[in-house]
Amino acid sequence: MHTLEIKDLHVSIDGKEILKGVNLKIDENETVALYGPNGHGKSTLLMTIMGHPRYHVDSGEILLDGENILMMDASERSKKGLFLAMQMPIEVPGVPTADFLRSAINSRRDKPISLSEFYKLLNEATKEVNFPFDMVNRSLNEGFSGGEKKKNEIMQMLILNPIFDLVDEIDSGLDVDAINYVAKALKEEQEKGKGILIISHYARLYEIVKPSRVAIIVDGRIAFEGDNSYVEKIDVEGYEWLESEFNISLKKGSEAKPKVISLGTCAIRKNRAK
Amino acid sequence: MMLNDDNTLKIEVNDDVIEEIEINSSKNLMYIVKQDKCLDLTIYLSATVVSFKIFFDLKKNARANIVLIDTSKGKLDLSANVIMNEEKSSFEWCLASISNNDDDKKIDVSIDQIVGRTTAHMYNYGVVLSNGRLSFAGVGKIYPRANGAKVSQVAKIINYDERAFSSARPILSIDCDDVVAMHSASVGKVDENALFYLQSRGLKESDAKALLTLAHLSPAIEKIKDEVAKERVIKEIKELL
Ligand SMILES: Nc1ncnc2c1ncn2[C@@H]1O[C@H](COP(=O)(O)OP(=O)(O)O)[C@@H](O)[C@H]1O
Ligand SMILES: [Mg+2]
Repeated sequence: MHTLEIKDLHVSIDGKEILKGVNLKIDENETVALYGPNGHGKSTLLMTIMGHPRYHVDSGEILLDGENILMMDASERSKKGLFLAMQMPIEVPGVPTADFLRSAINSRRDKPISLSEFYKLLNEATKEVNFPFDMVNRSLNEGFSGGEKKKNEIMQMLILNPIFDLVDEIDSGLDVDAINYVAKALKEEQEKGKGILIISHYARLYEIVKPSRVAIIVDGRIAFEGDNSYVEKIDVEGYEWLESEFNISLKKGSEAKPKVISLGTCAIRKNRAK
Repeated sequence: MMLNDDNTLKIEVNDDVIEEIEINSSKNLMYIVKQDKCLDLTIYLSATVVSFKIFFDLKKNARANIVLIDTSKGKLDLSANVIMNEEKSSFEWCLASISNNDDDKKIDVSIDQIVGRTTAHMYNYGVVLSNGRLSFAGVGKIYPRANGAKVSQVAKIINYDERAFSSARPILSIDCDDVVAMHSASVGKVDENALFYLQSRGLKESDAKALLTLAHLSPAIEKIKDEVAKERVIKEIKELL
């Protein structure tokens, strides 16, 4: 069984500590919904797992199938089976999307893919997410709409067929139609037994891509873990209950000793206005 | 063709010409493009060139489109001088240069637009790897009588390494009011986010850098008309990285 395990991970950007001891384990065949207030380190965790050089790991470990991957660059991590669908996919002017995709495919093969095989694969993947085929001739993400960029991410995920999908706010900026294509692709990933770590603010996506459980980052730590009943609770109530019920401060940089709470099913207060 | 006292090879362009030349040692060349004629010249600098001087003299209504691909090694002093002393001539210069390990390259292009209704566009693109050095100096001079002249200059260099040295200096000296002028210059580090994005999909660092380099130099590479030559240049650049 494949596992991705993060152990006491401390990460800083430009000398400022953002992650302050993250512990989290994901197995294949499970989908973990990563929640947390804005700016508390969700994207930072995913970027660090993928190996962005700006995110400096001060201490801790990231283990893929028990092997520490911190010494590997992003390219090696990709080949080991990690994929990050980015919250804000990068625009790369002058690099045609198709050329890039072919290099990405060839990076994990001994013999380069034939042109006909490549176009067949591309054809299928573009259809799957309803991405206009002729856009593969344009520069990578340059001038793409928000929705086109996100579809391009999911399309690459389908083509590269990773073991673990890290999915960062894939549904923000998408219209309902696009969300459905993306959700369907992710559901298929679930059915294939992938391990998925996913960030989304919308319960809508989670109606189709049902999480196995949730984890909540507060101020750079996983402050709370629970089963998938918390998807609805967070959707209805937001995060205040962490403070009122569990005494977890939602402020960044608070001096209070960190709390980690791990629970099963929750009780939902539907009347949040009170 | 004839050789001058200073070993300059003088070439008169009496017809429309499409030409490719490869330079692999020090050379001085002078092209005189006659009235109404057009010179399409692609120049490849390879091996070790050390010094390359090229002059253009454009007669009335003459045109010259120059593409220069520099993958030479070691030291390079390149100077190009363009004289536009008759009306309605136009000149375009598009250069791609890579400076690698211990290379030290100085590229000076100067264009004198002496009379009116002349057009000159200069594009210099460079990539500097490891401890390579590359400097661009572009001088565009518009003389007082050059009414209706157009001039533009673009210089862009990306560095892949802390040890790289590069500079881009565009100088426009304009002594005439009736002119359309544009210039831009930038020297910067490789886009770390772009590099990460490509690598995060499995591309090796060197392959990612090759794609970004080709993208950066593409305005010059795309101007190579001969498809076979273009493929050869692309392959050569990939191998440099
Ligand atoms: N590339 C970056 N440069 C500087 N600061 C950053 C960068 N990325 C994230 N941060 C900072 O790190 C903190 C966590 O950000 P992020 O992980 O994006 O939060 P989330 O995804 O939970 O909204 C924020 O304070 C943010 O400003
Ligand atoms: Mg985020």
